[in-house]
Amino acid sequence: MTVDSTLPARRGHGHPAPALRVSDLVVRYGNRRDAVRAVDGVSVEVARGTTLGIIGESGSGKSTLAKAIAGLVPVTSGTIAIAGPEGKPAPAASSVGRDGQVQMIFQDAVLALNPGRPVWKSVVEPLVPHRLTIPRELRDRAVELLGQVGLGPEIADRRPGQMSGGQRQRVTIARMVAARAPLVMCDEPVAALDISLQAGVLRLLDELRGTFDLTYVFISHDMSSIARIAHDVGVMYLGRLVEVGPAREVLQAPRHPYTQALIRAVPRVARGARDAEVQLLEGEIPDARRPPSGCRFRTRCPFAQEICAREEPRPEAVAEPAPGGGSAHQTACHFWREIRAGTAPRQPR
Amino acid sequence: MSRGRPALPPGAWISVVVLASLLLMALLAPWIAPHDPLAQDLANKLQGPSADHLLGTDRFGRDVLSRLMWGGRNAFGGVAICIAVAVLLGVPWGTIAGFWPRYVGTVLMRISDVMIAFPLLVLAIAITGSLGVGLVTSMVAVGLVLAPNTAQLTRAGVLATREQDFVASARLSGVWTPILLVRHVLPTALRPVVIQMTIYTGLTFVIQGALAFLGLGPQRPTPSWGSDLNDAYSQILSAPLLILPPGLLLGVVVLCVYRIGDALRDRMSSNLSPDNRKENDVVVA
Repeated sequence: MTVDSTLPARRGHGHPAPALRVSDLVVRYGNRRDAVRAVDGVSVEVARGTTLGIIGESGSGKSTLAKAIAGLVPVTSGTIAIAGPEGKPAPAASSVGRDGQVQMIFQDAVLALNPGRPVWKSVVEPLVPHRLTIPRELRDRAVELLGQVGLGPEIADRRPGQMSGGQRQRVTIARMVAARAPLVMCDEPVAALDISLQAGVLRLLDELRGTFDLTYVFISHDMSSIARIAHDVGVMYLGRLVEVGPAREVLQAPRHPYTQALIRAVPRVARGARDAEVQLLEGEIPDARRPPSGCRFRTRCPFAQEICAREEPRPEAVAEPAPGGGSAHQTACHFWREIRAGTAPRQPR
Repeated sequence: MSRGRPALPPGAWISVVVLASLLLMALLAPWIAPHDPLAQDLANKLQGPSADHLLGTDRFGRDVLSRLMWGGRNAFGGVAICIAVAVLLGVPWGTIAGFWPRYVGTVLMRISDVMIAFPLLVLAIAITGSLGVGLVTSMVAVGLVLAPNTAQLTRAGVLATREQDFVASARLSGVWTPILLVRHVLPTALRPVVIQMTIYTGLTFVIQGALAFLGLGPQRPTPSWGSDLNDAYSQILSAPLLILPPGLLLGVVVLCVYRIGDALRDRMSSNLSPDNRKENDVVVA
């Protein structure tokens, strides 16, 4: 499956080349017999200075996608093209971190910081990657960076164990800023934080993206985080991208039955909302070692027909790209038209 | 706000004090030993404790206390050599195997599997035989035999640590691999190895005694706890108490080393356990 869309300039940035182009990416874990295709033929582009949100259940392969782009897991096949500074092509994308082009923010910041070192050293480490010791003079720079993420100078000499979860995540964000990588993988960066802290960290990430013209791939299973931060949204199921498009369209007018089910499963805190309106997706995500034939979602899809087991649906554009630019809304479902029109027969359950 | 470290339990403190004083005694042997450990006095052989000979004399009339003091130098020095060999060989071995696990690591681990397949003491004796009998060679041999175990434990730690997010972050920042290993991987990965080394230290005292007992350690008349034990054993019918000083000393040293190892393990695992981590998560105002 490919999602081919030439991404025109957005929001007046005037950078025609995408910051990231992933083509037909496959990441396989394990040996041949029991290999898990965690990412199985994903193609997507992210325009410079924008955020691509990736949603999906646990096991959908979204974290693996981020790690593969960062070079932390080996790619089985496909290509990852990362634009260098000023839109020049980046060096051959084969190394970990892609020669400093990619940074990553992890879900659990306590695991993402060396527990035995004061945090200022972690923050400025990307500035001196070849020095055996981190020069004391860089402490001032670290304090400055910590200030940029809303942390006071007293944080600098603490160890990760002496800080709150929100503070720790801000420290890893400060390190990301120090590294000056144009492309950042955010792997559930707020999922481990209290709800009250999530908004602040999301706002910080979005501000930094604007200030430093960063490009994010934002992995989450939380619709509200995605809705807040993403310009485009991709929906993953069992290693495949089943729907992709501008965030507003995908979240408000989802075309794939899986996306629709995911969005319906979100409990709403609103007047008049009843529990009955929350519809949970039935069943579990199938074993990725033996994915269903044809459309992978068919085993849980209320609209599945005989063709779904036989033929893999190709991604189709469901709407024209908006005139102001933006990626086309595409989905991979045989019956998206019928489902939209309300004429698709439901399987009796 | 500082991370509260649990104090060492009293048993471990006593062990530290006992070991330190024994080490001091060994180091100061040339000055504080009451007699020349090699001086024979056949007229006064196999004497019980007396004012002149606090622990009595052996079958050549040599002062047992002085021999134990001098023997301690060989014991502590030999164990240091052995552990140094095990660490200097095993840690790089395991680190390389753990960080590049696919091909290099597989080869390195198969080599260690083969070495571990031999019984420890038998292999140590064989290596000592080929290097030549003596304190240094026998202890180097034991170190060589312990190195593959050290390597496997190091590898396990490195394999687990290299997958940690903070190591991934440093790699993404382009940190040079040797620095990455020293700064981020090894401090965490070597925690179990440190504990293992205390166990090996205790074990080495025993093995050293055994090798000396078998005549593969320091050669007579050099004082050594193991060969003194052997001497005493040969006189067990005529002077049964003679076996106690070197035997008890060896036992006490090993117990002390293990007690310290236990305390270290408790302390490190309490630092690692999730419960403790939660405690440390408390926001510092």
